[in-house]
Amino acid sequence: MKRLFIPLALLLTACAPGASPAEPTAQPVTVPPPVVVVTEQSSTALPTTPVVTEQPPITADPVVSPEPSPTAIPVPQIISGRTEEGAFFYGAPDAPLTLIDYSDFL
Amino acid sequence: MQGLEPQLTADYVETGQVRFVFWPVLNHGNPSVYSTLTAHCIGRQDPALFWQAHDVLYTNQGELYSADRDYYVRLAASLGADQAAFEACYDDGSGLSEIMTLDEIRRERGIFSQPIFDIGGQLLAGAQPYEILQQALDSALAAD
Repeated sequence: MKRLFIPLALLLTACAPGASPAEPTAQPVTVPPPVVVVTEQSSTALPTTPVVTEQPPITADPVVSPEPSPTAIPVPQIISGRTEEGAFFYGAPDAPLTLIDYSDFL
Repeated sequence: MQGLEPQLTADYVETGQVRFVFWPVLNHGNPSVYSTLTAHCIGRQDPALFWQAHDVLYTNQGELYSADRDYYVRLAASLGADQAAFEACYDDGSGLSEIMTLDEIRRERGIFSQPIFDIGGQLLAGAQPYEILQQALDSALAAD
């Protein structure tokens, strides 16, 4: 008799009006889990056990590329142009001396 | 002359004493013609570009005997020249006419080999060490 009483008592307690589920409360703010990267293990490792690696946290600091350091050496501006016959020259058009290089690129 | 130009430029051109002229001598057939035509067609767009082409052509002198039109088009483009304008100059005969005229003038002046340096009317034939050019330049400048 005692064996039957205990489960019966538990059943009645569960069905009692005071045992109804509580009123729904506001859903708690869920925080997304951290991003994970799942990579397969190499063939030498035990199969079917993925390696889970947490990515490092993303920082808010932007990556700033360094400015290229200037390497060009400033060269004085030299006038260049063409003679009246059409040959190319560089240097002051009114220079006291003209050097003509009769030559070929070969 | 290619190797001596930086020194000559620093000592005489940048100081305003000398104007340097490149006058083509087309003595090696088509390779001479087309390399010179390339430099002139590039220089038509900007005379400063002529001197860049001049340096590149001398630096790559060994490639010029087998260079074709595409080679020169790529060279022009690599220097920032307008490709359509370059090709028009290269193909329409106007650039060719210019360099042939210059080649004819040098023959009329009695120039039949290269390199020859005309320094104020004094001719120096063949490649020269810088000291010889320097003496000739200083002498010509002193005579002025």
